[in-house]
Amino acid sequence: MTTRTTIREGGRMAKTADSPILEVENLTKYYESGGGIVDTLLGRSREVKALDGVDLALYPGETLGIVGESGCGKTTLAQSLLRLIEPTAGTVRYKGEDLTAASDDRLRALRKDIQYIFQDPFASLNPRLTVGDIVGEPLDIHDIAEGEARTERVNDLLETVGLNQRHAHRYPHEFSGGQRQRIGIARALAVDPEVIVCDEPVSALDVSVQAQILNLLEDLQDEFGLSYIVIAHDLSVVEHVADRVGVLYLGELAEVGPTESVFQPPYHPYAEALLSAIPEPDPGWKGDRILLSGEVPSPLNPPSGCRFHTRCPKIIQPEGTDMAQSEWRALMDLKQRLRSADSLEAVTAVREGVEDEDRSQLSRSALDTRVRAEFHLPDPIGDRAAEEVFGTVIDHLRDDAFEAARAALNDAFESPCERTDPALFDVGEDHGIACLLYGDDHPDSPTRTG
Amino acid sequence: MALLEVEDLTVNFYTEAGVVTAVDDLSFRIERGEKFGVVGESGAGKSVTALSVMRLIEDPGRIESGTVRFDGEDLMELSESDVRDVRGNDIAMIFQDAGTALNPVYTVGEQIAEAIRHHLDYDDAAARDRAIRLLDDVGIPEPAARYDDYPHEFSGGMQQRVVIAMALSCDPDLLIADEPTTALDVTIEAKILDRLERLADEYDTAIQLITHDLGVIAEMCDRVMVMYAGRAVEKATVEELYYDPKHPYTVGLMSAIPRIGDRQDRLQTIPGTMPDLVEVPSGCSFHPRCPFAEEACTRKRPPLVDPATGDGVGLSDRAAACLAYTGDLDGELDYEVEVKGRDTPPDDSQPDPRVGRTDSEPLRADSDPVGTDTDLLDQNDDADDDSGGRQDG
Repeated sequence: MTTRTTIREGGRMAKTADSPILEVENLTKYYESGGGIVDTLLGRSREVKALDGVDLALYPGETLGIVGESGCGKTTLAQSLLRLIEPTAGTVRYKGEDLTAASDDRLRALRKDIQYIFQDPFASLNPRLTVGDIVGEPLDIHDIAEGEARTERVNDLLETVGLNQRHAHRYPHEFSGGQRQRIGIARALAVDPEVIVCDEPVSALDVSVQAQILNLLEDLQDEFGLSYIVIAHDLSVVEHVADRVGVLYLGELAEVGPTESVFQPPYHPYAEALLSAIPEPDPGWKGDRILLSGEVPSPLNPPSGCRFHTRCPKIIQPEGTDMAQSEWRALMDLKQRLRSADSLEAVTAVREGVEDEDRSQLSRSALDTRVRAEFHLPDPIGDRAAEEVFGTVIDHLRDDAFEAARAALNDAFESPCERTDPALFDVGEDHGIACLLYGDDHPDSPTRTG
Repeated sequence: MALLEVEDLTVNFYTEAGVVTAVDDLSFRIERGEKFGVVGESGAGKSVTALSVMRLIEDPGRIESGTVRFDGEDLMELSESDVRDVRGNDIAMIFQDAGTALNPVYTVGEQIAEAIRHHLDYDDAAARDRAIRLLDDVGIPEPAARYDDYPHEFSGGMQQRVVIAMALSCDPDLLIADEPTTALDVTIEAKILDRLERLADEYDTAIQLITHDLGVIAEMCDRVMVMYAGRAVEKATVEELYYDPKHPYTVGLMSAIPRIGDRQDRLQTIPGTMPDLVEVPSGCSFHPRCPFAEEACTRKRPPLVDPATGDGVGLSDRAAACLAYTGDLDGELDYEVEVKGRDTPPDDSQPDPRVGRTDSEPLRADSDPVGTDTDLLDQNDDADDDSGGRQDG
């Protein structure tokens, strides 16, 4: 905790005074799903909520990191910022001007100021153009330079990113991955942008090359006063480059704040789990990993309330309930599993040496044991009332009455997290966490830090 | 007797651009139940080494020389059908891309059961039962219900679990895992590594874990081999390697990773890129990128020696291949390994090694690639990329 207060060079900390260069409000992108024309005709098409009401601000000269698992909407966010894909709703303001309302011509002009670096340096360069033409193309499109001046500018750019003017006549396939990413960066720099959106800029690169590119991005920022939005799944990369970080989960912001605040308590339970999962390059490190149950749910039908509640280890217990958190989580797992299940196979543990058994023939006590085994529930559950409800559920399951079992569970165990979609609560300076634990109504809401 | 002993293995690929020596005179040993890490960047020869152990090298590649002894038996001498028995039964492999390792037209359960029936002679019902049990072991919820699902109905993390279940189905002695979690999210990665480690302990299976991620190695492995351009440059236990690295390349790798809680502004980098394997630099192949390189390094190829004494070593001993340890250098390796606490409150007392350089001319990326990259590019970057792709895909 001691070195945390170090202020970075370049004065990039003081940003609250400036107005944001890019301001994102309620950005939303729904994709139509359900695929076939038949589905559409029958009105069966559904919406994939890839991005659902995201608010963000990027300040001049800063780096904003965006993290989250695959399928959380990181790339959708990046691409709708520049209208590479059309957002369904919301506004993106660049220096006060609304990009989402801009005409095509105006948008093209604005793209001079906002550039994009792609994840895959192998796929994002036209294999039939020389490097000189790749880097020079934006100069042509935006009528920035031609002839001698263009050549000179291209050479300058190549040198800026650590390449050489002799490379201008070569083709992308002649370069290694790191060099290709440098070419992509040179192309983005060509129009002298203010903002660069970097989508996984180093995930395809080897460790040593990754460090070169990250340092290059940092140098360019200092030299040209660029503002970056960096999307990455690697938290250690984001922690290294970003001044502020936004954590996305299923299209919504779970936490946003200065990097140092996001990477230490108070945490959003999702951010905490992400952090704890990073493999630590230190054999002596004995930290506890938080292993989340399940995977990112489908954005077709996102969970009600807080979208993270289906996996959250800290899911809140209803008022009046006070059982061990692991038991509570296990009961919620049982409840979620039963929601879509209509056979005993779904809720009972397998046993070795038993061939393809018919589980409806299990005795009540055997069924009881097997359900407990599947969900790691103790016998008996510490909380007396919960144990009784569990008994009732087993009775219903024994009678094949899944609907009744579901009802019993729903009546007895309902977390506030299932009902209420948490707002982004203020937990510190410029630091927001979308979790009911930090809400005003939560009795144990952790002490706020200023 | 060691479980796996590889000695003097050399593998060449005969490409249009020339002969690529993907693995060059490589020796190592894995003990029973041991978790052995192989680390290095693309093109280091990690995957080719693994495929050679399984005798899966295909045209234009050829195993030129060397022995691979598994349980005392030389796999190079076995007939093709005997090798096939070893594969799956005794040595199983997990690939990076689970999606392509599974057959899309069979259910996941059937794919596991097939291996069990084939290798263990189980009948249908017993094989099905064991397959369900394995799916449960690797953490697939509702294993009995999901037995009949097809691979495309599983997410990437779930598919990788199925591949692990398949690999474990015949209770192998050695599991070769080639970047098993590289394509997955950290949350899923943590769960899969945790599961893999527990199952390996339970089944007493040795693991050869190939990865570029030093974090994954630190978490899982007992011993590590660092590879560069087809050769082992350092072998050590994880503690030795992370707290007291002996080869400049290892030091470079360690300092290039961004670490949580580390507030330095710049990352240390290794200038340049992995050399073109058609034309490996003379002497020590790392010398064009090494901050400590001297004239001798361009001439003399450093042997793997005990860094303390400079003497030759056995297959399992700590070793580093650098002329600094054979008395051929005028200067010395002037770097410092610094151990600092991981800055993660509330528990900030845990050690975290940070490798810092104290030499007056620190490694810098911004200027170096111009020179080094250009030279490499002029040799033939094209061939480099092609061969690299084939070996380390």
